[in-house]
Amino acid sequence: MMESIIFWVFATFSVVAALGVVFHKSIIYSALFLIAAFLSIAGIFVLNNADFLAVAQTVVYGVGLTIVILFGIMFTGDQFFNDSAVTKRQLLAYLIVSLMTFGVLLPAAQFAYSVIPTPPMLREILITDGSTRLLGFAMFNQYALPFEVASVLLLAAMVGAILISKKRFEGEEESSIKYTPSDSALTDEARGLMESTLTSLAASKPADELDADGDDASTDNVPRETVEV
Amino acid sequence: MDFLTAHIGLSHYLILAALLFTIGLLGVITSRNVIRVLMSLELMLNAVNINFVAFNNFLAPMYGDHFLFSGQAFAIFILTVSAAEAAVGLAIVIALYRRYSTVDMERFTALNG
Amino acid sequence: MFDTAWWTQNVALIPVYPLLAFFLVVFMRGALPAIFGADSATWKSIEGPTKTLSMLATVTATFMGLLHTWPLVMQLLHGNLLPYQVNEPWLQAGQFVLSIGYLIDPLSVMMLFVVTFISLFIQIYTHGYMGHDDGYAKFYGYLALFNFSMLGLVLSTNLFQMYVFWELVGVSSYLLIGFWYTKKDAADASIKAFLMNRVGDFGLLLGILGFLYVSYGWWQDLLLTNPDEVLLSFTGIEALVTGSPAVLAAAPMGVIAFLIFMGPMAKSAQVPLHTWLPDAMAGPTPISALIHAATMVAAGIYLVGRVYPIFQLSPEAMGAVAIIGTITAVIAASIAFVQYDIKKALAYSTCSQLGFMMAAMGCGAFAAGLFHLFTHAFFKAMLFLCSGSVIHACEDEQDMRKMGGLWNKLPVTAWTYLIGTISISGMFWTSGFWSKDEILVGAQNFAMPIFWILAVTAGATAFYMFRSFFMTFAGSYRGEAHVHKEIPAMVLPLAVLAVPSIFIGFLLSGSPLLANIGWTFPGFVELITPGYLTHAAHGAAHHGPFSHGDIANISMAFGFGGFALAFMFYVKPLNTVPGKIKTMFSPLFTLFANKWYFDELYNNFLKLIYLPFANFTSRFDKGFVDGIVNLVGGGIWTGGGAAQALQSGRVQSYIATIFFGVVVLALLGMVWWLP
Repeated sequence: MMESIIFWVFATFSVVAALGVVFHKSIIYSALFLIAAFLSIAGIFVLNNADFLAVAQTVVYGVGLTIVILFGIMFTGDQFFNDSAVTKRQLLAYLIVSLMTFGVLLPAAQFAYSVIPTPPMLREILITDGSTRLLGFAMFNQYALPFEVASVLLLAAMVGAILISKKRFEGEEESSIKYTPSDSALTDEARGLMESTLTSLAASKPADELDADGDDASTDNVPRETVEV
Repeated sequence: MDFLTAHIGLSHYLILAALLFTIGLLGVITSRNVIRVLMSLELMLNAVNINFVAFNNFLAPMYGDHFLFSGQAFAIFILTVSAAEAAVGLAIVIALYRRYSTVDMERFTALNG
Repeated sequence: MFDTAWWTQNVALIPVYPLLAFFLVVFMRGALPAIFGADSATWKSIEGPTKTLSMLATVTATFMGLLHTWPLVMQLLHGNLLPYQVNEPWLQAGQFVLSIGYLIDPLSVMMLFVVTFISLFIQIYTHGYMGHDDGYAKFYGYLALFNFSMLGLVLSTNLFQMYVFWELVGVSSYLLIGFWYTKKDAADASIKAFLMNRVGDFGLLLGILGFLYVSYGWWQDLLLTNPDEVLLSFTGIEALVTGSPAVLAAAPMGVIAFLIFMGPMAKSAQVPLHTWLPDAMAGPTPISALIHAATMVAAGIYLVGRVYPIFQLSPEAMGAVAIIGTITAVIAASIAFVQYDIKKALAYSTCSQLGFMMAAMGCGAFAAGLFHLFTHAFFKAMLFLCSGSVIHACEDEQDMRKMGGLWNKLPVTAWTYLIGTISISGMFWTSGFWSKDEILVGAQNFAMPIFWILAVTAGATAFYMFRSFFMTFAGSYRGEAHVHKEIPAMVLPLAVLAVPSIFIGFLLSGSPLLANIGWTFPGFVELITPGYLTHAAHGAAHHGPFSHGDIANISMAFGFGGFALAFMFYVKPLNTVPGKIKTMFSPLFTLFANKWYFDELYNNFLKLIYLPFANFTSRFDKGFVDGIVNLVGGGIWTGGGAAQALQSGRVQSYIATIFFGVVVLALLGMVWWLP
């Protein structure tokens, strides 16, 4: 009874938050909705007797990953695109999603396992021991090799991320990250502040470096300002 | 409001996961902001995690004298992979942004040859 | 080490010597300039020596071949030559093995001697004739290549190996005819020779394959029982035809034999595939002597001799060979009447003599045809070398109307030319007399019309040969060019070749008179005739009306008749009598002068039949076949254009497509597997 109500609360929360991630106009709000989704999914984990996973979900997804994403947003700025036009691809996407949901996944879920209770034996063990011991048992016996491989994967991902983000392209100056604030994201006041900073920076730098900086604009049609960070 | 108090079984979790997965897929396909695409991707991975955890809860097999928690173990692996994916993905986003000065998916058409 | 068997067992060395010489020449004249640079001082300093070395290597190789052949010839004459053959697998496809090897029997020893002996003296002669030519060393390289090919052909153990070397001599001939390839007629002639030979070789290949097809089962049995035998070996063919002719009873042997005969028809310049041989005279004269008179064109006769058992199975094929040979003899002789180019006259004479040989083979006079091949090689090579000497002396003038009176200026050439002329005319017990007699004997045993035609043609031979002799050497000089002296390197081979031209026929004639001079060796016919033919010959001996002596008298009479006519026409009142004859028989003269319109026939065939047909098939190909191909291509192009829209470069479209596929598959799966 109580379990049911908790499930419905978390389920509603997670679906609404997921919709918010996809459909909210502002990317910042989307990121916040993502945190909400992650946390409610952690709640679902708890309902499934996965307490260790719920904590891991909260720490890794709810905190770590969201922070990384927020950093990404910070680097790229909050940009708006004209999403309103319904393209062919969007139509296809809705078709696929609805077919997948109502044609495949729901019937499959309904058909396969309509009502299966948790095995009582397992329930007892979970109540007395918690899931962590069993999970550790599985991880370090059955899945020891994948576990080690996962550590290598993490290391490789770290090295890769550093390499990719450090790599420079033609015409790009060292230690300069350019970003283009869109018109709506910046108030006139901020724009004025930025321009004055730019001018003062330009005055203190040799002219040829600025020229090299300006060359990069040839690849891009969008008019934009460049800021040295 | 019968369904609110009805017993919650495996299929409830599966349906929830299906919904989250398809919402994530919708976001991946339709979003123009590359960061939103990444976030939707994370949603899809989480939906899969729900499946694993639910199956683990209801169908954990016996292995010798104890239960084998394969589902949760896989959920951990997915967690690891998605963390790696997010790190690399965001690095790529940064690189893309420095190359094209935009995060608009519609502008990344280098695959067009 | 050099005991009797050694020479037989190592006979494979004979073609290897010239092959090594060829590689040496290629290395020195091809690789060295590339290594040092064609303009470098090093190359300039060694260029002269490499020329001499090329000559020396080639001549030495041929000389060693001749030295190696000599013991074999002696063994043959003493009757202790053991037939010997060795085979090595060459191409293997499961049970189907093609081999190369070498075969020693009287026939191959005879050809070995002819080829090495004549090659040696022609190569010496070349030093004089080509001395100032830029391609001196290259020419020797080609000569060595030809020698290798020809010797390999002679030593072949089976039809496939012979076919390979058959093509190699064809290539050598092509290279040598077109040696002065900047001259248009030489380049055209080399292509013409090659194409004409293709026609024949195509037939030959079909014939070989046809023969293999009808007898393959028998060959398989043979190879199982006798591991020394190889597919299509000549000894095997003999065993097949003589031992178990029932195998071939149902096969169309006439067709197969005629297809095989098409190869010799082209190679030995038989009508109607003879037109390349006169044109081939555009090549250097030593080549005309070596390849287009003495050796390569004789390869056709040699091949017929090798596969003679196949021909014997089919009277129709034998008749066709005899008739074609006779027609060739007549037509070529008639054209030779009116030729003014000394080399062309000799070329038609060669053609005519090859016709004699072929007719002899067709008449069943196997040994007679090869005997004539043997003697003809010596005197015809000598005659060509004489013509080369004349041409060289007259500053490349080939027209006999601008010669005359060279008797005093070129004494050795004149004497040897006279000897050759007498020999080819079959007079005075010279070599040609004996071999031509054998042919006539064979012809009268076969059919009297062929006998009379060949006898008259023998008289005609005397006429046109003495005509060319008188026009060149008698009377007074009519040309403008200054006549040079003879060169020693060119005179020596003439003198040497004159000896066999006179005597070798008599020595190998098997005449009882030979005992008087202490020559006890058997005659050519006895030496060369294989066992299976001697039995047949006894049964069918001498049913003609004339005895051997009668035939000698008849041919001598015709020879003198030809000589007398030539003397009347061309010595006494030069250029007046031929003019009258010309007007009297003007249609015939025109026919002869236009070479019986064979070239026109071929041209018109190409122009009126072949090219329109080719045009039609070309249109069919372009319109219909290409149309189908283009339709398919166009369809794919259009489809590709449509599919191109799918590749927008947008990753999200790709994801959408992938998931669309997943959904479709999942739905299909649900319909299929779920109840």
